[in-house]
Amino acid sequence: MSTSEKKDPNADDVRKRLAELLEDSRFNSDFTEEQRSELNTALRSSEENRTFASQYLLDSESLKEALATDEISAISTGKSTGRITDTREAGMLRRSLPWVAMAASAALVGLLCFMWLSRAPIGYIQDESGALFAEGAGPRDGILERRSYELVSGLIAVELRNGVTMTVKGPAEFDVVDAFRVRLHKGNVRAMAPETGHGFTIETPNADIEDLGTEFGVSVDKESGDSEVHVFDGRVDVKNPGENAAIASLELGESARILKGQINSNGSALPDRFFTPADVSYSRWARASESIRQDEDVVFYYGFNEQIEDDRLLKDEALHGDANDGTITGARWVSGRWPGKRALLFDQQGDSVQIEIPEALPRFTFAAWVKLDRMDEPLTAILNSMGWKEGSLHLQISRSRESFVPRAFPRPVRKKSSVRVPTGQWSLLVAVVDVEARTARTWINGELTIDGYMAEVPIIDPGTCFLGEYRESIDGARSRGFRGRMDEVVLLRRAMSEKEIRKMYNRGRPHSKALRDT
Amino acid sequence: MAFAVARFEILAYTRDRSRDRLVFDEDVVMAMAGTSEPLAARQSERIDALEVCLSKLKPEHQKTLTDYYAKGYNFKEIAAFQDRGHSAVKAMVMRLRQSLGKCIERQMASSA
Repeated sequence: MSTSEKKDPNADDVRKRLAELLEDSRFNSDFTEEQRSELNTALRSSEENRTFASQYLLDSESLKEALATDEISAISTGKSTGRITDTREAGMLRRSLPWVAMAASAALVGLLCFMWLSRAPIGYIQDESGALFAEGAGPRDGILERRSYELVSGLIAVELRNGVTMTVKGPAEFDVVDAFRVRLHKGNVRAMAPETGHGFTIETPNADIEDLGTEFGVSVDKESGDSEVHVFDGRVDVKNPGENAAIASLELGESARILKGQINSNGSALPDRFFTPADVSYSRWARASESIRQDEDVVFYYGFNEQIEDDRLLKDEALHGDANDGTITGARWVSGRWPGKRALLFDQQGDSVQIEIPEALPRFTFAAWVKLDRMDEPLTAILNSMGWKEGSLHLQISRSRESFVPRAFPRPVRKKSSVRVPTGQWSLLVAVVDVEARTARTWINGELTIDGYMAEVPIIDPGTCFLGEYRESIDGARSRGFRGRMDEVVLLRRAMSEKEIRKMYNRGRPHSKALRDT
Repeated sequence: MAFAVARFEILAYTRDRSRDRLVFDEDVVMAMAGTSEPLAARQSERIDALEVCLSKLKPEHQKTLTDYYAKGYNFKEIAAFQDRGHSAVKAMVMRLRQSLGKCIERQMASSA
């Protein structure tokens, strides 16, 4: 892509060859010493070749940046199932742009050369819960390369670039060889291989376990080297280390214990012994919810745990202050963000939870994880004070779903983002109001959507409130019914920062796609 | 001593990568630095042109370039996705780079 000056009739061929060598060097495991020598000799020999190569590297970086940015737009408009890792990569490259624009130096070219010669990552850590790696044996920003890892404790969910996903429970020691081979020295791994990952193999000290389009678990005992294989779907082949012929095949529902040179049937496969990616995100959320419960500023924290002795009670699980238990009317217990998590389903007229908020709040943060099914009325209540009076609190979604607005306050409001409350998927709605600062802000899934300035300063004294509906009085007309599920609701008597809100979203999201830290 | 999953730092990343076998000899990197100054100064202009040129490509060609440059798949992997030969994918990427290069030059000349 360099400027062409057609002096030398062979110049085009030379450039073509240089471009080819540069592309071959990109994945340098396949790059031979002869090719390396040819490339360096060509670059030493002429200024024109060096100019061409420098421009080629610069253009490659620009290309990478431009294409990764497209990927981000696709992700944010929901047109792609792009991965978090794409976002991270693109973010890194976007940050690199000023270097391209400003830094014309040895450092720039050196950096481009380093980036160029690097191997592409083999995989990425998609999610983690309490993951601790041994020093020097952990991934940098979740990128997996060809090397050894030691997970001391916690859980990780990994996606390899061929689409294979793996969950690893610490303590575990493993080597990532390539996207089709992982060597497990110790620990417990569950692997799910799609069509593109056919042939994925987990090597253990006593056997190689090859996937034939399936989901399976492998555990290895470091001292003995013995392993266990459990097949949850499809079939796996068991081979002697490094050999091609299978010595046994295991089908769906089977498990085996593999000792040196010996395979013993081990009864039925035990899926519960191996963690799924959903288990990783559930565990990540559970740890985070524990720290919210301990926050001294919590007015109430509803984790939506069904109480066996009274299923009409929504228990306040905050560890400090008086309990503000809610009283459930109508709403039914169903599953929440994860299979093991409970939620309340509001799908009938009158489904609601009554809560007493006995204190005036000079500032507060309200956060709710909801899955909106539909909107029957122009406004849908999330948390509404009973009746309409000065200081009452009305957090609701407008039909356009453009906003999640604290209605009690005079505007103006400024719309900051076009993000809407989605239907059919779990979303975190957050409102932060600060009377002294005269601000009222709302976030949808960690993104600031409304930034309102309050012209007057009301007293915020919510009193009797309802989750999921609006009532004029206890026996009065009911409206603005919320239709969908809620599975976590918290009120704090302080204003959370944007960073805390993004963290809350990242820790509670039921999927692995996280927001980038800003 | 253990530590939590750390966030990405570009310097640590490049430092670590430098432990890999080097493609470029050090004297070549230094010599290339000398030629890069005028190029880097023009790069933001080239990026504008590149974006116009990329938008003219067929979606399947854009996808191939995204898989290769942005997502980091190698020719072999892309060949497997597209159910075609490794060398056909490589030839396609090389051809696309060449035509993008020409398009950029034309685009820059017309806006100059």
